[in-house]
Amino acid sequence: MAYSDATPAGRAVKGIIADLPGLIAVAIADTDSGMNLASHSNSDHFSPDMAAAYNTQVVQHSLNAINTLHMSNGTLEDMLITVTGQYHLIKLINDGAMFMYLAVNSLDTNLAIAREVMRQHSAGVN
Amino acid sequence: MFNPFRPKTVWQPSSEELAAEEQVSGYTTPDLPPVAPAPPLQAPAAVPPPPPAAVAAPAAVPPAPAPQRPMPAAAAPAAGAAPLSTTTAQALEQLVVKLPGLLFAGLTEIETGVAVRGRTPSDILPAAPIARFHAELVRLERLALKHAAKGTAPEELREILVTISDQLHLLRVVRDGQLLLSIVLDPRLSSLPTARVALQAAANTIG
Repeated sequence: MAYSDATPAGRAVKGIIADLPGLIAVAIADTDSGMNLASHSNSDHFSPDMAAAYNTQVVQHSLNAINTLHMSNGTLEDMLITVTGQYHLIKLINDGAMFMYLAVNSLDTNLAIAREVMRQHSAGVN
Repeated sequence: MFNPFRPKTVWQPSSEELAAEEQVSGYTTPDLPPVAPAPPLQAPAAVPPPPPAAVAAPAAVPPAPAPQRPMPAAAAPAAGAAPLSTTTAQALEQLVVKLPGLLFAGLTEIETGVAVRGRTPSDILPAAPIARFHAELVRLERLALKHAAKGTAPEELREILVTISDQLHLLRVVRDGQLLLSIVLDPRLSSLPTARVALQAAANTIG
């Protein structure tokens, strides 16, 4: 239980735990340092801290590619990673200063629900 | 003596000739399917044809007959299946036809980031850097999944979708996790569900 109700990030994590069936883990991390501001895991076999730390590299690599390759004039919004039986979602918040990481069981939730719940709760983290 | 009326035969090197060839050039023969056709019009001294992945690789790689790293086994066509270069070309053409607003479609080797084949129908994006970016993304994500798993085997990566405000990047792992089929789309012209269905069909074509 690594979150506090006193912070917006902690309240977002708490809201997601309440709203999302099939939640495996959720974390809100700082994009520069890769450290978690708030996290929670329902599984003994999944560490949201490590996931956020290593996915920071994934996010930074994508941001670099957009800038250095002149690939797009747009901004990175979210990423969806499909693995066997799970969806992992990353959503950038505060113009990429932070990101939310969410892992859900694909049998219990569909992608639209997971994205919508994430969108609602990430709007409050500012 | 050259005889122009000689019946056309397919030349195939005997095992001794192949062994001698390896000693001379230091070239180790990759795992070729047993039915690999030898080129009929080449001089007998030619090395056996490399797998199609190497043929289709960009010309930036010098055509040296001695690759330093062994080619991954999955890059060579499975015995009995159509060659990878043909199925890839077919699959990418299908994608170009089905998806308006396609900016890039390509098949990439994940370990090296080298594009086996790439198409950029609208010529807006450069193919090789995009292929490298996609392969690196998959490698980083596999690393993340490996470190996030505690005490169990990491989950197997299937698909990545990157949403940028004016582009969609869809990446799909094919051929036992060795190759990556990826596309970049303009979301105003093609919807995500259509693109996923088309990508699934293309992945099935490649196998």
